[in-house]
Amino acid sequence: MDVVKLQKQLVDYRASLYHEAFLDEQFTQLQELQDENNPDFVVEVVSLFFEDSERLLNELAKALEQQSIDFKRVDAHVHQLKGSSSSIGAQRVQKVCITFRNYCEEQNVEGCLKCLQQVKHEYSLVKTKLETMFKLQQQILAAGGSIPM
Amino acid sequence: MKTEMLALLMEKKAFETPPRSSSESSPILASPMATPLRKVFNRISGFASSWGRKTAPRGGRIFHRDVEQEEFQYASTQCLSSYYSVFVARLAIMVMLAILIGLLTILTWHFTRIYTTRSLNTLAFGLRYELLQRPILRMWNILNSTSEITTTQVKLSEYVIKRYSKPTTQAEQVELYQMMKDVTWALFASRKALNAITINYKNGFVQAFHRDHRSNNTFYIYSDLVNYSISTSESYDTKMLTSRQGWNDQFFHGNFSAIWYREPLDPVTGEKTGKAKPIPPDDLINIAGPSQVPDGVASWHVAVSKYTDSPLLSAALPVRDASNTSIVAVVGVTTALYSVGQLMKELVEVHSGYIYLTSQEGYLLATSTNAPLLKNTTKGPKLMMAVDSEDHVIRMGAQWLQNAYGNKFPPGHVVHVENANLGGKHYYIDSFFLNLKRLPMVGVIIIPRKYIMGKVDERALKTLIILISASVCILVIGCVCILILTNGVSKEMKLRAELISHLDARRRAEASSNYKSQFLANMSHELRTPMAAVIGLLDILICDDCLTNEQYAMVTQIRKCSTALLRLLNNILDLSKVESGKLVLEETEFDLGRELEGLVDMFSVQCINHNVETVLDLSDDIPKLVRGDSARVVQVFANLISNSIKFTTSGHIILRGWCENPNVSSDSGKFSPDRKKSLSALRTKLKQHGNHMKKASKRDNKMILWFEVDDTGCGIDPSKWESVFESFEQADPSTTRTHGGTGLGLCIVKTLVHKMGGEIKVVKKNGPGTLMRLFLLLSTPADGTEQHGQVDFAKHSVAVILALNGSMGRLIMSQWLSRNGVPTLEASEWNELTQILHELFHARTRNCGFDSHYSLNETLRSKVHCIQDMRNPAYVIVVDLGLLDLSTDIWKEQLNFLDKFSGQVKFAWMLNHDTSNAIKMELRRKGHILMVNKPLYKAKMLHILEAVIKERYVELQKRRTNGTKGTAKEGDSHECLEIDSSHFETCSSDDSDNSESGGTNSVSSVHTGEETREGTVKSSPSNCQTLKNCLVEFTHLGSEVNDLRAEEDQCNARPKLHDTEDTKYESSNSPEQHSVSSSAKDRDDSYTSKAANGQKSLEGLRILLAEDTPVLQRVATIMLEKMGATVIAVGDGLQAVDALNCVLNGEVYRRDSSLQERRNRLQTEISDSPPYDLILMDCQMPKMDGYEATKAIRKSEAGTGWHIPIVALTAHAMSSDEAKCLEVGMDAYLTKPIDYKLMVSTILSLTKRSA
Repeated sequence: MDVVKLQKQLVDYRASLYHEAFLDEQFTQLQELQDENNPDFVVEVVSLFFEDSERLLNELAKALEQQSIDFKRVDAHVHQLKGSSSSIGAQRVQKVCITFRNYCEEQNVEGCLKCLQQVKHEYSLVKTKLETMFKLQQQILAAGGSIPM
Repeated sequence: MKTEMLALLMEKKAFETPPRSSSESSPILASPMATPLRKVFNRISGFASSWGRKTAPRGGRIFHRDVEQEEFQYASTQCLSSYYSVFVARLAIMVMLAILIGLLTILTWHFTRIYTTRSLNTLAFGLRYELLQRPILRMWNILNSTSEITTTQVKLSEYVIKRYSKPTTQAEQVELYQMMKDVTWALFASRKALNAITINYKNGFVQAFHRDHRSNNTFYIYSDLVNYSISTSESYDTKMLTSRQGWNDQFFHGNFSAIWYREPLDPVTGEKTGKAKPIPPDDLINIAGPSQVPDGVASWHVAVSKYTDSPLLSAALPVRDASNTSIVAVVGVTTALYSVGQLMKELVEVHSGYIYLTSQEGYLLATSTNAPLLKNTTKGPKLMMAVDSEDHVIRMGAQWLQNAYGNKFPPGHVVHVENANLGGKHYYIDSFFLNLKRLPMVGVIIIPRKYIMGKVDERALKTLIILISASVCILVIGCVCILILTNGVSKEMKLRAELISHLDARRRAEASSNYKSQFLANMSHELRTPMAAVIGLLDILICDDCLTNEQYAMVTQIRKCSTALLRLLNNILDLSKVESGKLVLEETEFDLGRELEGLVDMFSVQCINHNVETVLDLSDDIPKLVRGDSARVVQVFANLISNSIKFTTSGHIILRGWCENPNVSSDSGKFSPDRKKSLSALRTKLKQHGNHMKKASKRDNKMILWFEVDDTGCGIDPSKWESVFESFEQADPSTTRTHGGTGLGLCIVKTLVHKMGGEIKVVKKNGPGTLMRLFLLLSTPADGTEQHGQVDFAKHSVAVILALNGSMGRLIMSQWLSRNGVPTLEASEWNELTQILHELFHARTRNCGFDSHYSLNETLRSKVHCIQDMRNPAYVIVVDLGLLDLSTDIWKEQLNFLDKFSGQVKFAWMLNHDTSNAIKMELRRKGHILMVNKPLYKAKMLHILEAVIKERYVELQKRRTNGTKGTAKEGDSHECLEIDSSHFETCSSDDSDNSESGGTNSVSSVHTGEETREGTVKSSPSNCQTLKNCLVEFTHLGSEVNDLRAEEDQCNARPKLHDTEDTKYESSNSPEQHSVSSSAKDRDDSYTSKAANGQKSLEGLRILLAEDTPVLQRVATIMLEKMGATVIAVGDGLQAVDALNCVLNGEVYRRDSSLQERRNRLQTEISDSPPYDLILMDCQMPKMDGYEATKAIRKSEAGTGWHIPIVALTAHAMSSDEAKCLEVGMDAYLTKPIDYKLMVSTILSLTKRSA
């Protein structure tokens, strides 16, 4: 495959992610932080985010399944999720988290469950998108090209 | 609403039938109706009882409620209920009225009617009794007289018979009879009322006298003697004794066989008037026979005869023989009852009515009418029953009695009936019983009711009708009155309900507006962060060297736009912060004058390009130090001035300030007349406001400070004077096109001014432009009320020549100087200046020929002379550099010209901000060391004058001590330097420049870029204080330096940006920043330059990062490491505390080593394990959150003398969070997601002092 083509594809894809508001400038900052000292910084952070998020989502699902829901705990989890998602710039997840927290404050179980589904959905979306992007990057690297910023 | 409507309808209905409601209110209530109405009535029944008590306080409460908005929800229902209660009250009052009137009517009627009736009845009863008594008495009399006569006759007969006892012969018998006849006649004649007297002897012989009242004849009737023998009488006697019936029959049979004779007699004399004629026995009058005296006692009975039409009363009594054993004869006396009837008639004629007497059996004995008492039957006349009477009233009365009582009459037959209905008419019926032995009688009187009660009944009816009509009238009128009265109340209720609903609506609207503000305030973080990121990233980009020129221009442009957007955001957020009540004003002391001077300095730079003069005119009585929120005060004026600048293309902008002091009127003399007038008007207007404010101000040491911002711009239409302070409002919509802006500035100003207890408004102004006047209520520090020590310039004999371009500034300055006793000359251009100089020093400068061309005007000349009169004056010439012709090289010659006077005068040069270094160097070379940047205001003038006076003083001293001029000059320069630097210390915003001191301030550093940085480097210990103040701004603004030049045309952006960020930093850095030691100089240098580049600026710092979210932890770590910091990351607060504690413990051993040593080690031995330079602390963490951790750290620090800066990382952006962070001992706070640039600058500002 043509490296230039791949590079162009990556740039387009990334632009589309920004355009569709999956990512925001925070992700850009992340990318800027990546340098020769930390060549896989973005991937590292994002995979950290995936791990953390999956853990949190599991915890949330567990917490919401319970008979008497500990909203404080749910809120804390959501808060964490919000923090980490905002840190990598996954703003759609972050937005749902904000709604989620509102429901938590209202102690609205249905709203929370709905939000949990939304969060899961958004999370899986952003995960696949990011994974696709990383795959592209790897392809470029494998082809011997450099990753365009 | 529906229920209300129904209630209204209901009400109407109730009022349409007010008379009925009185009696039928309960049926109305009970009538089937809709459920809401039923509810209403349930409530009504509850209210009705306590209506009177409840309504009045209810009204009052509702008024209260209008004020108390908290109870609003309830108020509307309350109103509804009180609305019902009015309706209920109406109903209740009407019912009560109806009942009252009904009662009154009934009572009146009762008393008038019943008592009259009763008394009348009593009277009538007496009357009736009397009426009936009289005929009965008459009857009684008749009976009595009858019985008397009978008795008399019997006695006489007994006597006569005794005389002629046992007559043996016929002759004796005849003689006896003759005797009896005479005696009887005598008796008969004596009693005219008698109808007949009969004597029936035992032997059947009959003698009788009869009086016919109709024909007025008297007859003697006797039987034939032939048939009677005395002998037979014995047998009779025995027979009679054995069987009464048999005797009787025989007796009469014997009589029938006898011949009866009747001879008429003279009624008076008893003489025989006619021949005796035999008559048939049946024509006979009723002869009393032995049958009528069966028991030998007297008997009575009522008889009828052919000759009379009235019943006869006959009495019979036996005549006994001498031995009193046998009856020899029977005497009968008959009396007509005619006279009783006559009496009754007479009585009835007087009183109407009917009277009749009956026997016990019911036979009529006498009536008051002419109706016949007897009926003719085949067997002759017979007595008539009362029920058969021909008079129908009597008949009906009798029938009524019979129907009512039948045979069971009450004992004594006494009946009183008052209201017997006979044939459609009402009658009184009374009956009395006359109990005579053998002849009981009943008297009945029937009197028509009409006769007795007719008038009364009539009156009673009339009274009743009148009463009822009157009460109905009153009721109707009453109901109408109630309707009218309560109508007002119900209208009021309706209005009140409307008012309440309006208030409710308003409250809701306000609430929704509040939500908006709340939303915006909450969004502040969300909005600001991306903007800050954008700007920060742009800064990084600008620092990048690899940009082409085009790219650089574009990025610069982007940055400009971003700053503009951030400014707009800040405006909106400020506004919403104020509106949502989240803005809290600080209360710190600050130098108002200095702040305003700084502001004017800043704006003047902007104005120079606009050909607009910025003048600051603060009166001397303004306190130096005031307490308040300096940043907000400055923001107010910055907004006002930038607004003025925006609309002013030429002319001036004056910021005036004076202190409200109503007691002192002397200072008002310095105000222009029009201002004085409007001021007094304002004062009176604010009197009531001011009165209580004054009281308050006395206590809290508050002052009213007045300010005016006066410009010569396009002005505002008077109709818009109010609305310009509304948000997004501009005086002219077209200005948005020409001048841009959002119209938020003035709104913020207004809200801030209000918040500070002041007011702002547009005031009418002479000439073009706008005059905004505002006052602020600021407190002055209790101890610092003394005015700054003014030097009395008058006694130093200083004269000032103001050679300035700006006419307004010159005018104000000269006014101020002359007020302070400094004679002033003004010059607006070069030629004028030379002329004045020539005039002043003409003796020594003859070579100048300008005087022939320019003649000074009279006033100036007189002033000049006045100055010349002064003894040895010190001349100060303040020269605007703009007076020199800088475009060509002429200025050097002009400078040379002025140099000639340098011996006699001191020059103070007013520089422009962009004055080139060459000129400055030239001036300095010539020995002009007094240089200040434009604009000129009081403080600068003061310093110039002070410097001159001091120099002069030193000069004089030197002269006395014979010192050389050169050394003196050197000394002077040092003095000046000191003056200037001390000036900088107090006046950080001052914009003067001095090459020798190299001191500068933030504003000038911003403007002069490179040079400033040098200045910072070279900063001497003396102005380090200033530097420190600047540093915070500088580190932040340093990155902006590059593009600031390009930004100058929209310079108004900067103060705002500067202000907001300045406060942010001030609040985050708190007072500790003043304790920074001056030895940080070198470090400052290094990091400032590095901060500007954004590379490795954190080199050598050890940072403890406490963050639980792995992602954030990683990001922050990389960010920090990228800048060269060493990062130790921990997962929660507990770990953070532990990590710190072990370090601290380790550190305790080394505490005895001096601070300097430690610092050195810090700088050199980073790989060692020193304490952390800074802690970044997430607020929300498991196990131990950031607040707790901070508390614990601060606690463990206590006693060690350490203070590790802690920066909070929080996802919340509210000031309350900030407050919480600072409260627990954190030094600053950063919001997530972490903004790269902001984090670096924050860390730098905190670490430099601990380094």
